[in-house]
Amino acid sequence: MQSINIPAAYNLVSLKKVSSTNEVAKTMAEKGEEAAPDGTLIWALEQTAGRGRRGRNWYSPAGNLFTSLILRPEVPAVRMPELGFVAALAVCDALDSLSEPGHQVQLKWPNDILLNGKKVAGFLLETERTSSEQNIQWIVLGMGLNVSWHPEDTQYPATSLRFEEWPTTVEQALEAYTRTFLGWETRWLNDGFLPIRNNWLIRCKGINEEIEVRLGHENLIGVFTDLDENGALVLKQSNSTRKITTGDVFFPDVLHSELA
Amino acid sequence: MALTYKEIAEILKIVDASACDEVILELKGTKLVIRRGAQTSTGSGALSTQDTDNSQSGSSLNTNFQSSADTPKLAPKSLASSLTAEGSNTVHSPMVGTFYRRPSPEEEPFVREGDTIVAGQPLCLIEVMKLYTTIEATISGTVASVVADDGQLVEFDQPLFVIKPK
Repeated sequence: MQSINIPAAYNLVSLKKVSSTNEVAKTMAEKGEEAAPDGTLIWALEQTAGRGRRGRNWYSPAGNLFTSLILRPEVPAVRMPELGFVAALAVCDALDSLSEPGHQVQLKWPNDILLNGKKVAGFLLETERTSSEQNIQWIVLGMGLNVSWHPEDTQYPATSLRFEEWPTTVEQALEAYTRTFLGWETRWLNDGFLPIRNNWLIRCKGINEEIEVRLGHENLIGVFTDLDENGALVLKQSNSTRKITTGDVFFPDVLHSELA
Repeated sequence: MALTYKEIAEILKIVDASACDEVILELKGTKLVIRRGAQTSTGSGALSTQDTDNSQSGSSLNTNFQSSADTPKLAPKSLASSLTAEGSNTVHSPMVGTFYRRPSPEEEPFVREGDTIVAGQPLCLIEVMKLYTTIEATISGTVASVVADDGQLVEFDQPLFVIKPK
């Protein structure tokens, strides 16, 4: 591996092949703050059991970026979901800083990153607590970015930087992500969720448009009107407004291509 | 005789749809009192149960039935509840989110009814916006009942499990 230039706030742990960077990070985090202080960043060249939402496989060949960041923010546990939006903004800005002309980077609720309308990066956040604790000891922020390769068989269409003809390397992407994440996390810690929400709304796809949200047991169609103060998606339907906290978002152009 | 959360929710629905102002239900070991119009912090109605067997001290269980727009209504908004269950400890949801009994859909549940558990053992996952929080047991004991359904949206403070302490 070549030398990596990342902010001093992060302790980089570079690994060649792991089952999943989140698993490595959780094991380290559970050992305590001394073993894994805030800012411990696990980076692997390859994952053998990369995971996405609800146990879905995350395509993890060498050539893509896989990281898990251990954080110990002094923020109430109830606000932790906000961190996914912070991280999504960081990847969005990282890609913008590496961007080639003529490409579009957008966010898809809650924290997927789209490049030219297709998913290029995603997050899986994990933590643990008892039902009575108000704070968490750690949170693991797992991120996968398709730099060189992308899967063909995903529910939502995927792409990679190389497929979109960006010459970015894994190392460049990692450096850019850590820089932008540090900036957005600092903003969040200092100023709260409001600026994160406002900036996320500027960069998201589908605002004030009809979307489909797939929950586990039903699919909802409505107009995506807002992000509420906790990060829930506000979906306006003909007779009601619903706040969505869990689900997969699809846009009409993607649904039409699915049917084609 | 302990009432489950689902049974109480069903009773609340029936009472709320009726013209009754007060219902008192006495079962072995439990007395359930539902009174319309009583002052509570969350609504205009009240529900309470009491141990009629005083041989053990009960723990308090408070259920907030406030319902967000995307949550199935488990009980009328006008009713709030407090329950003192005999010798059991209820694990409540610390957040709004989706409750999962399994690490992933293909895997076995973290715990089943009747399982012996130890403090710190994972009981379930709650997902909100791709943040998965593992909820751990605070006490050792036996899983007396799993109150929430797998994949169900749960509210803050909604009961998830009843644990009988060791």
